[in-house]
Amino acid sequence: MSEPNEGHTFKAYDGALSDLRLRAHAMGLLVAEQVETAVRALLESDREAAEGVLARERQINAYQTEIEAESFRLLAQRAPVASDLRMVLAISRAVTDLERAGDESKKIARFALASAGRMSGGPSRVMHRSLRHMAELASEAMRVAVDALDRGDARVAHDVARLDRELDQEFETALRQLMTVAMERTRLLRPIFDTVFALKSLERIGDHAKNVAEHVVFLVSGADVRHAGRDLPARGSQH
Amino acid sequence: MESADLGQHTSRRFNEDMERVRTRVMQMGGFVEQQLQRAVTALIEGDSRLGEEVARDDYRVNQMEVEIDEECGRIIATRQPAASDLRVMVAIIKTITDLERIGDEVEKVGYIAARLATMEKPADNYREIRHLGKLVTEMVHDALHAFARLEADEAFEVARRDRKVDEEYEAIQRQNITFMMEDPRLIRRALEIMWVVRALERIGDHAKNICEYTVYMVHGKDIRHLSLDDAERQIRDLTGRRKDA
Repeated sequence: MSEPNEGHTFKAYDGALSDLRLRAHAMGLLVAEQVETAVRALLESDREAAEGVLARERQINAYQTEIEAESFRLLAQRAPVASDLRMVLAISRAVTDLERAGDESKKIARFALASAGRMSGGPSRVMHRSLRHMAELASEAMRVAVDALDRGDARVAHDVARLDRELDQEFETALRQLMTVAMERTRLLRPIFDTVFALKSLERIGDHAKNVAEHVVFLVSGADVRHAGRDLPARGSQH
Repeated sequence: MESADLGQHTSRRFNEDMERVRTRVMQMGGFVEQQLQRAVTALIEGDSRLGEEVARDDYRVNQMEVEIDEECGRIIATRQPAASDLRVMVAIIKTITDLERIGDEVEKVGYIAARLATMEKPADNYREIRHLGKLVTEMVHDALHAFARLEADEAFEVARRDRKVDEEYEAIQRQNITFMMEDPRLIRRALEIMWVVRALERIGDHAKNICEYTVYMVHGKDIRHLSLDDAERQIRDLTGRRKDA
C-alpha cells in the first residue's frame, strides 16, 4: 500500500488483511484470463475451452463468497479504521464487480458452446477482429485494475478509463457494422444477435474494470468517485 | 448461526442508526420502483419527454446509494456491530448496490423509450413488453417488501419468479428475431427493443439478488450461488423447520 497504516498491534490482523488482498488479486487475474479464454473458445469453436470457462466460473463464485465473508469477519472482529477500513470496503466492492465480469465471460462461453454444438451459428466472420480486439482491451483493463487494487495505486485509474472508452467506441463501431450485415442477411439474425450480446459482454467487462479502478481511488483518497461526471443528462447512445 | 434478532440490541443508538438507514433504503427502493414504472410507461406511450426525464432522474438514485453506503460505513466503524447486526448492514449495502444497478437499467430504458418515440410503434403495441415490465416491477416491489419485513419465505417466492422472467425474455427475443426476418426494415427498432427487454430481464436478476440478501439477513446463509431448491432445503435443515408439502 502506498500510505502507512495506522499502527496495528496484532500481526495476525495484518496477515488477514494482506491475505484478503492476495485473494482478491488472484480472483481478478482469473477473471481477466476467463475473458480471453471465452473469446478464444468462441472464435475457434473450442468446446473444451468453453467448458473450462464454465468450470472456473464456479471458482470465481467461491472466491467471492470467501472474500466477502472474510471482509465482514474482519469488519466485525477487528473494527478497522481509516485506510484499513477503506481497504476492506474497497476489496468487498471490487469483488462484486469481479464476479459480475466473470458472469459476462460465462455468457460468452455459453454462446461458444452453443455454436460449437451447432445449436446456433458462430459469430459472424466480420466480427472476429472486433471480438478479438475487445477481448484484449477488456482483459488488459481488468489486469491493470486488479494490479492497481493490489498495490493501492490510484494513478492508473486514468489508463483503465481510457481502455474503457476504447471498448465503448469499438462496441459502437462493431454494432453499426453488424446492423448492416443483419439487414442483408436476415437468415443469420440469430448468430448476429448472439454476437451483439458477446460484444456487449466485453463492453460491460470494461465497465467493471473501470469500477474496480474507482474503488482503488476510494481506497487511496477516501473519495467516492463512482458517479462523478457521469450523471449529466444526454450522454449519447445508451444501451 | 444465530438468527437476526432485531429487537434486542445492546446498543440503542445502533438500533436507531439502523432503523434510519432501513427507512432510507425503502425510500430509495420506492423511488427506483417509480422510475421503472415511468420508464415502461414512456416506452409504451411513446412519450419521449418522460423517457428523458426518467433517464435524467437516475442521478438521484446514484446519490441515494452513495449517501446510504457512506452512512453504513460510518455505522460499522463507530458502532462495531455484533455478527447478526453486521449481517443486516451487509445486506443493506448489497441491496443498495442492486437498486443502483436497477436504476442504471431503468435509465437505459428511459433513453431508448425517448428514441423509440420517434419511430413507428410495433403492431402489438408493446403488449409483451408491458407484460414483462409488469412482472419485473412486481418482483422489485415484493422483493423490497420481503426485505423490509425480514420475510425469508416471501423472498424465496419472489426469487422463484425470476425463472418466469427469463422465459418471457427468451420468448420475446425469439419473436423479435422472427419479426426482423419478415421485415428487415424493422431491424433498427427491433434492436432497441432487444435492449429494453434485456434491461428488464436484468432488473429481474437484481430483484432476485435482493431476495437472496433477505435470506442471508434472516438466516445468516449465503445462498447466491446455490439453486433455489438447494438453498431452501439447506435453510430448512438449518432452522430444523419442516414444511408441510
